[in-house]
Amino acid sequence: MPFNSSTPVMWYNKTALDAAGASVSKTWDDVKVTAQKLVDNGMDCGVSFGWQSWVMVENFSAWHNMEMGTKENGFAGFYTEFSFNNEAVAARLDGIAAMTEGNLFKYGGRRGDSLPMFTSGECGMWMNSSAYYGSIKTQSEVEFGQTMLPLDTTVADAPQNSIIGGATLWVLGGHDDAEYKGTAQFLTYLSSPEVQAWWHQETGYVPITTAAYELSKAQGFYESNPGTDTAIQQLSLNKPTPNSRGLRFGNFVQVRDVINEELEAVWAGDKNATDALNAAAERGNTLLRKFERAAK
Amino acid sequence: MVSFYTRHSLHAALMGHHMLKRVHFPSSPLPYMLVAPQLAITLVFFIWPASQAMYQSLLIEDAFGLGSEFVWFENFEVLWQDQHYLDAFLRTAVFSVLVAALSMGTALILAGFAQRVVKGAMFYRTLLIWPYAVAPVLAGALWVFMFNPTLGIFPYFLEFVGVDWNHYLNGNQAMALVIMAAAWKQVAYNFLFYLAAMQSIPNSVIEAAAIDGAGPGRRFVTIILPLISPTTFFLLVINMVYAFFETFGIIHAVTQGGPGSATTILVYKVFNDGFVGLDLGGSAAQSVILMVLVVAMTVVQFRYVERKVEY
Repeated sequence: MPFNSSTPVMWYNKTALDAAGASVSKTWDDVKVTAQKLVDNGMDCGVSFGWQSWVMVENFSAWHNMEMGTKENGFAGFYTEFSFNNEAVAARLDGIAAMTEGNLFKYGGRRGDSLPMFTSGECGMWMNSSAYYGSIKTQSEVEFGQTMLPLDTTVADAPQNSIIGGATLWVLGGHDDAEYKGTAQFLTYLSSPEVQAWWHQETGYVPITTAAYELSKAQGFYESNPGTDTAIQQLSLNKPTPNSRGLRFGNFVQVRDVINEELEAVWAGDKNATDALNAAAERGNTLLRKFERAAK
Repeated sequence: MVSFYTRHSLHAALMGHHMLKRVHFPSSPLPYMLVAPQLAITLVFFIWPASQAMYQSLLIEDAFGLGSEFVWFENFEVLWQDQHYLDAFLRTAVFSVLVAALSMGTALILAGFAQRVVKGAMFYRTLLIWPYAVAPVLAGALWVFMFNPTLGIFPYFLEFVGVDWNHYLNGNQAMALVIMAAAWKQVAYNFLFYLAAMQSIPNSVIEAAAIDGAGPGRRFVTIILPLISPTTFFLLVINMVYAFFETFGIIHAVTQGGPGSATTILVYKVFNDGFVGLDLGGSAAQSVILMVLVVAMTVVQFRYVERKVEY
């Protein structure tokens, strides 16, 4: 059963944007302009992000309806090859690396390590999971909001849809009927509209049923907390294509580590994005072949 | 010690020649029973897991262990062809030597200062052993907070002296951070051993040197250091093994091997590939290599470094 599902969104520091006279960014061109305004107005950095493979490669590809790997991102079976090492992704990453100049962009680590940069008011914009809502709500010293991921107008005219990340609850075989009865009751409880709506509203994870979404709406949650339905809007923006349905790759945890390593070389100025992405795709393909051997 | 016993037994043998044909003890199961628990622990907790790792290093297995294929040395061949793996050797050597040097050096200096303090010795010794009881991953978490580029207290002070601290981006800073965290955890342990070693040096030796006009610094270098060399050797072995095997928790908490692969040392790769990536065969092959490496290193230390030690 899907449980804590989320998708990356763009968080922004409303107080800082207002102070700098900047508006909420819709495109990557806007992001750059806004970042410049924020820094000019005395902020330490314009924009940052976490979970960079997920946000900047996987979701950037889906959002612009580009494949990340062959065979429908792996859904059509084994023997896939990564194809995220394309010109569109490379140009975007080089663009971000160029923003390091003047601190328009500042890299703050893997996973959610850069969260304090946003909540402490160092960076005015931050791209990461919608599920940081709970943390930001309790930690943030500033007024904040969330909006859809920016569009790269050189790649697409309109966004496609973003893809989920998160976890799934599994039930394993080989137990007594009584235990499965208990498990079923527990899963029924977890997925009930009340529990799901509460979980969604407290954490920022998306509700896993339409009923929970409708309940949140009826409770007036989105009206009193504008922007909190951004993740839902993004996920259901358009009918998913083979490029935006999701990802299904073996050894993907290691592949993400490889992408982390190569992207960090780009942010540090050691490599250009094309070289880094080619290296990441090559190392990733090796890991895919290794997975196929093991899973045979 | 060795020569003492040799001489002693030679003496006994010569004496025995006149008095008794043979000195013999009645055979008893007692000695075997006494070493049995230790042997059992070694077998169950070392020999058996080590042999499992060796066997597993010859397999390619899926993440759940449902299917496996015997591939002889393929996992090892893959490693030798992987430049990223080979790069980790030099990095591990640098990391281990610096961790051992930093933690032992700090402990030596602290013990040198502390050995004269007698009042409240129990109290401060108890306090000083505390960091040793901290789990590596928690030690890492402490240093993560202190050095967080945004929230940490140290980057705040470093800014005053013009250092822009960001270990998320700067590989050398990241390496320095994990070395400090790993060394810090080991200082308490080294301190206790050094303090005990210094306190076992007879006062008369120190006093004689003092009468001959040797100052505290001279006494430390020419009297104390040589006399505690067995402890230094023991700690060197312990600290190197610690740096090679037990530091993955710190690295996982602080840098996850990054930025790039700046802090990916051998044992972190074993941990990450095995427990995070679930590549069991590849991880087992790496741990076998690491095991062989540490055994070889310890043998070298005993053969060459121990010769310089005066017992």
